[in-house]
Amino acid sequence: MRWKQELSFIIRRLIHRRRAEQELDDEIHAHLEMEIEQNIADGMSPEDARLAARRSFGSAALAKEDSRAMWGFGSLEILWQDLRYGLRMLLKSPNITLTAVLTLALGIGANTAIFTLLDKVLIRPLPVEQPYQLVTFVEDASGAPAIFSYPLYAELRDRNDVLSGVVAHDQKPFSLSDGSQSERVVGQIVSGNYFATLGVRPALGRFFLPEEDRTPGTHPVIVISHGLWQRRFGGNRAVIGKTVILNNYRYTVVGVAPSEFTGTTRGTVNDVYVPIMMQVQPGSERGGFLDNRNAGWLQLIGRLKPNVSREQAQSALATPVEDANKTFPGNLDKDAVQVGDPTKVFLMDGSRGHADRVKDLSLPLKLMMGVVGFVLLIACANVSNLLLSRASARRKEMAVRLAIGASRWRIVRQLLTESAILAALGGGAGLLVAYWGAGLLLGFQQQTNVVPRALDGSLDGRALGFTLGLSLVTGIVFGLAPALVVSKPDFVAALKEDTPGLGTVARRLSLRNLLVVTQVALSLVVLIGAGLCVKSLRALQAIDPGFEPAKVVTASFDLGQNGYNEARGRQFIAQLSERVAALPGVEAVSFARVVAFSDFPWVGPLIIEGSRPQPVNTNAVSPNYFQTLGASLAQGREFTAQDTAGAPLVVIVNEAAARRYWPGQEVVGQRIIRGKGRITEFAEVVGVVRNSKEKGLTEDPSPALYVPQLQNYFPELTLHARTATPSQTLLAAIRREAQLLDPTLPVYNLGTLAQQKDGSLYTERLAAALLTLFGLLASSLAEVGIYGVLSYSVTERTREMGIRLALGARPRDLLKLVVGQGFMLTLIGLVIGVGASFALTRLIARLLFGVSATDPLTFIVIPLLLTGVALLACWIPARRATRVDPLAALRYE
Amino acid sequence: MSKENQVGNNTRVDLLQGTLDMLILRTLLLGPLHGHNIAHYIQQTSEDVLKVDHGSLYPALQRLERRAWVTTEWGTSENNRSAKYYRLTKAGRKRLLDVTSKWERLNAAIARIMKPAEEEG
Repeated sequence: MRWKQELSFIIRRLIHRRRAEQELDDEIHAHLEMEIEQNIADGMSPEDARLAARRSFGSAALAKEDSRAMWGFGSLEILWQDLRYGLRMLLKSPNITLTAVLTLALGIGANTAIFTLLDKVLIRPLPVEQPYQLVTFVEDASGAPAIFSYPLYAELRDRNDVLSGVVAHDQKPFSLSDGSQSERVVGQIVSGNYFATLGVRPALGRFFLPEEDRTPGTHPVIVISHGLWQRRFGGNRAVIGKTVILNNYRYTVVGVAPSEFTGTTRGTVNDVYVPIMMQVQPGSERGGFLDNRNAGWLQLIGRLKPNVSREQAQSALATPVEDANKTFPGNLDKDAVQVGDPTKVFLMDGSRGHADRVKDLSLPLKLMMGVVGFVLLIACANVSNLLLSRASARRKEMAVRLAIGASRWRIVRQLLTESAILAALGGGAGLLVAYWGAGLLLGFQQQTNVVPRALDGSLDGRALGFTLGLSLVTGIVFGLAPALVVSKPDFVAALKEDTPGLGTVARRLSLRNLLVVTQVALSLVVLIGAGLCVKSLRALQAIDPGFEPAKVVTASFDLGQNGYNEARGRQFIAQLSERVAALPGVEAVSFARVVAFSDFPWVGPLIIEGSRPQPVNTNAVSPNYFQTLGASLAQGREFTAQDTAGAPLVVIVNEAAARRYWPGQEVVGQRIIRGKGRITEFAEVVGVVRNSKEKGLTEDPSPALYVPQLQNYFPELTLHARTATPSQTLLAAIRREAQLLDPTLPVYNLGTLAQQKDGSLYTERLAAALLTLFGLLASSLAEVGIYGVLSYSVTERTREMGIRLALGARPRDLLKLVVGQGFMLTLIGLVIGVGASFALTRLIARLLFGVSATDPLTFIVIPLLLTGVALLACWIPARRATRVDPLAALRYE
Repeated sequence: MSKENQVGNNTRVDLLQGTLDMLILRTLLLGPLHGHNIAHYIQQTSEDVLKVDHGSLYPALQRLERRAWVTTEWGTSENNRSAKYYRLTKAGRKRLLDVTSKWERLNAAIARIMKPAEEEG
């Protein structure tokens, strides 16, 4: 029962705190008085008696503090005192506090923003049961998903003893409507066992039932995402059982997926989940794919049985796939443009789902994490410096505290508490920076894809935890050095002399010098990285794509999703063409199925009689397409309005195709096979167009095939309009014209091809912008550091400067002295920084185009620039040194 | 200033903490005493060998009170000064017995080890 007594003691002391303090004071006072009386009785003089009493008592302050420590919860209470005291001290020098908090906020915020993305993109597993059992079926180590037909999927699912389940999914956009207004959403067509195998539980309603996965087209049910439920249905629970129209077909909502689950394709967010059996639906463009072995369209994810390794599963699954390929030799089916089933199985860790959509972000994000780590280190160095200079101002306070009996640990603890407060404030403000920064990062994204990449930059528990941990570590990193220096017992010398001995100044300075050198080196590394990326981006942007992206605006439509048949679709295209061509400023109008630099791949077969089909980039375009884009023809002609369905079939190829398939021959007039139904037809090459970039600026020219839109109808298409000066007005006018024709038809991808091109440079632009931003931030922090060190040194050496002046030194000599000191530090930092850059920039070599990772120009210009700015930072305090008044300096004490 | 500085060096209390508690409890066997009494009793009985900072008694007394080994009351001292008196409780007596026997065993053990060395010397 002792703890009860102790607790009642603590509570009594807590309630009667003041009385207890008073009693302790009285008690100690009485003790001293008795001692003095006794000493006098022993024959001492009153003065001696008093001193002797004091001496034998020891530190009264310490006795009181230690006694008080017995009254409370010990360290907790001391922490509380330290916090209060720390806050008071921070408020006493608001400028330093504000600077430190801002510096830390930038450093910590940048880290949190990048970490949030890194975590969500690369680290965090899917919110499913036992994600590390999952494996993805991919083509090879690149992680590109392998594409399976439904029959082979069904066989893999049912004929193996290594996986406890296999799910299939295919992602595509849908037009979602409630009868009046339609919205373009991203959906996943999923196998019936999708949610059950993944182990996801519905937020509302239910997921798919086994009987909904048996017969094609009989169970029109969908599951919607939590996001769509909130956005479109206001989170109303009555959404279950509601009918929605998806691609012009009625479905019943049966369930809502949990908010954290956004599908199994990393980097995208699904709004609807449609069962695979409903893939066959009236008006569906794909037709019956469920029994078509040659139509590959599904991505697979499997769940390993316990104690089965990925390698074991991979070799066990090879057999059914080989068998399937024996019975169905993957030859080209006449009416399918799809590639057949894969010939081998390759499994990858599936804990994050299919991740190829975010693969390009992996290196930049890791790189950025490193860079913001550097920035935080620089920020720490700066705050350390600030605290050191303030600590010098607090020398006396510390010396007194040490003298009246505080232990060194006690003072270190006090100072670390102050650092922790600073770090916590910095972390808090950093969250704001992170919130804003993550939004900025995402703003760089390409938003013009068929399935838009949706990265989530919102801060969640993990981000908060990261920030908290980082702030704590930061607080210790920047706080420890100043705390140790200040609490050093020989600091007590401060009490005796006002001007400290040379030794202590030198030591304190050397720590600060070290910090400055580190800052200069780190910021140089970041700046050189920035320089390389900017140069590389310039080189990329200078690449001629083979057409004029800045003069073309685009607007995309998906007519099939709004239930258009071919006749109505063609009518819409013709009418819109006419209306847009009549808009002021529009020089030419054309339609195409594929937009340049989009991620929508269309690889179709190019078949020359007597040889195997070759997969080539394919596009269906309407007349005047090349003129609209500003691309030029090498030979022959463009498609014309006469190349209609009834006319002879024609195609255009690019120079790369001409060179590869008809080397040394006249290409115009050659024939290729165009499959149409079960009939083999020939199409004549009527033109050769110059090579242009299709997917990315850095690609090598690859063969491309263009077919006339008028002979090959596709319901998803993009209007291209050529204009000298693209403007928002024109874009708005195009949208208006489209909506006049059909108000329910969603228009997307409104923008210019130049934006599309920029979008394809997402990672490069991101890297260049961020590195520049962080480089400038880092170097300005470093300049502040240099400035701080020199100002401090000038202040400390005021007397020395005075003496030098008095002895006849010219102001110029002093200027040289101080600037020289700063210049030395900068130089050392630069040398280290250049060395580190040589070692580190090769890490970003893969991101660079047209510039080497050790580009001499960058490695010369940037250190020079940094030197220039550093000299400026040295000059200001140096000027102050020359203005020292010798007399005042000598009387300084 | 400089005198406090001397006092402020770190070799004092920690080493003595447990022992000091024991000495105080033992001293209080004599009856209720105030801090000054205790300090002088320890100093004189040890023939000035044990130099205890008087100040360090007070945290120890607070600790003993917290553990309920002593109770306190204000009274009047020999020379008519109001002083706080500490009195041993039942739990305090028990505690004293415990630590004394522990201390004796420890002492005996150390003595057995140290004796041969003395003889050799």
